[in-house]
Amino acid sequence: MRRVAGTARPDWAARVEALGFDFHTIDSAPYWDESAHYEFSLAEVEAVEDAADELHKRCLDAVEHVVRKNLFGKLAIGETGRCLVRETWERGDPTLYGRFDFAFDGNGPPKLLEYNADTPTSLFEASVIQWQWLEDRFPGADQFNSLHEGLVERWREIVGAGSGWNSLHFACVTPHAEDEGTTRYLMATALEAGVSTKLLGMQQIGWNGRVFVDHEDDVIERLFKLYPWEWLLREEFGQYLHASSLGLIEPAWKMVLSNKGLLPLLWELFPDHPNLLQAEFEPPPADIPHVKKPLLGREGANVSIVRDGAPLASADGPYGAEGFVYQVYQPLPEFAGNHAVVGAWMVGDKCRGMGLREDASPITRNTSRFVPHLFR
Amino acid sequence: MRRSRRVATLLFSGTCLVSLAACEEAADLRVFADVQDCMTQHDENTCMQQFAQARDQHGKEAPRYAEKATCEELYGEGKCVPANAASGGTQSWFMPALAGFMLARALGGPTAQPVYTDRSGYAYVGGRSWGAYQAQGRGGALARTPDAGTSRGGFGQTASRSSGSNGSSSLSSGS
Repeated sequence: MRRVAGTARPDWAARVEALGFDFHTIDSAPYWDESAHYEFSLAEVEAVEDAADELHKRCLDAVEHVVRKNLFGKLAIGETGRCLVRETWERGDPTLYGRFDFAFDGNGPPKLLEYNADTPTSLFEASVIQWQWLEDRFPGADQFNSLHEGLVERWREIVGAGSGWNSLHFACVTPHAEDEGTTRYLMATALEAGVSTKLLGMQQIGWNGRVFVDHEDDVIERLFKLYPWEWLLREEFGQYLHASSLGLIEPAWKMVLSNKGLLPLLWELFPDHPNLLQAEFEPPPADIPHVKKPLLGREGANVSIVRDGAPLASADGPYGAEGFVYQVYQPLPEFAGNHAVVGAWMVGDKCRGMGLREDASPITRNTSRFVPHLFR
Repeated sequence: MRRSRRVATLLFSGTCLVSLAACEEAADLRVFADVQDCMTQHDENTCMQQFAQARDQHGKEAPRYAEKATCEELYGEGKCVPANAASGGTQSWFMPALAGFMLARALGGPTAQPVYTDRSGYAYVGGRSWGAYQAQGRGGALARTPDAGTSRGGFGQTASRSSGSNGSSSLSSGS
């Protein structure tokens, strides 16, 4: 694994915009950055793929464990959440996708930092935009990326399971270029699989006392939501989720996996697993460098790295009220002053692609640049 | 590991009201962005006249919103313009910008019609109602009229809460 500095396509902005990628720049700083790329060997790519496939299975074990042992309290999941997790888990409600974030420098096993199992973004760039870049710049090279076919196939499986998933509403926060882009891309993959779709803003969802309805008063029976479960549950309509028979993607059981409490649970179940970092619900002794993460947080917010008892780096944000977990500090590999994190994309139960983000800070944020990759 | 050549796009093109595949064969059903676009299919006179009709209709019938934010929520950022104060009132209104027009004969009606595209790229003809927003009263003024008994806005509250000093208006739901 190495970082190769190069030059961007002279017309890169026009090229990616032609595909509908309208959030390549965030607050006038580049988000999509093709002035460099990462190059992997096949063996390295396979290490990422194998780690993701393996960890996904261990994560399903962890959900089963939480449900059987009633460990919801550790995850700050309340009464409605518990019912929904149990129900959707026992019924086997389908998952569409998720993204593992790994610390990986090409040597040794990839180490799990977290599982974005509920509302992962950067999917469109990983699936479509970096592929276009590969075809334009390195048509002879390869890329770990069968995300698009994977998503279309997965939708077909979900529809084939025959529980009304052939018609689906898609909702996200509007206006929000990145969330809308991700949602619309997923909608396109569903359309390709023959699902009929309808898009609306989260704020437009209505409740008529019996069922959820859309902005045109059509009943919402199945919903893809790019909106965190813990937010759904604490908002005004959250109380109706159980009574309504609304089916959701991602399903409620995913909230066990998107919760950082997953990390100590996994360590407890599978101590010394090669892809895990030691993690606990209690802070470790001060001399152990560790990362403090909020149970429910996103985009790196409220994460702090503690070394020699003092914060090495921290990111502010609105999270942390539900508590924290403490994970042994595994520094991200640094390339020319950039900290790189490897994202491994799960579609259904299979790892289907990879996307890299890098940042000058050791904590990856929502503004961390997306840098394309290839392998030879 | 490589995948097919086909690359999906987010452009669900709002320029054709029939299915995308049928677009080419249904020139009459096309939405034209402007007179020049129209002239690729029809003569200049027809296009000028029809565009003028559509623009008239737009001035009279375009959906209007009291809040710019409400308008942009439906049609997209930067897609809404101030509406002329038609009746001399002090209330200011916002309406979606004209995205294109359709020929009268395509619609089987007496006049050409303005076309608007919502923020998702779906096209809408004329001042037709969209979602729970329905025309009320004269002058095209719009008001929100949800079904009695349906409440809305019960989701999305966390995201719309301000995330503080970094200038972004909504909290990211992604991860």
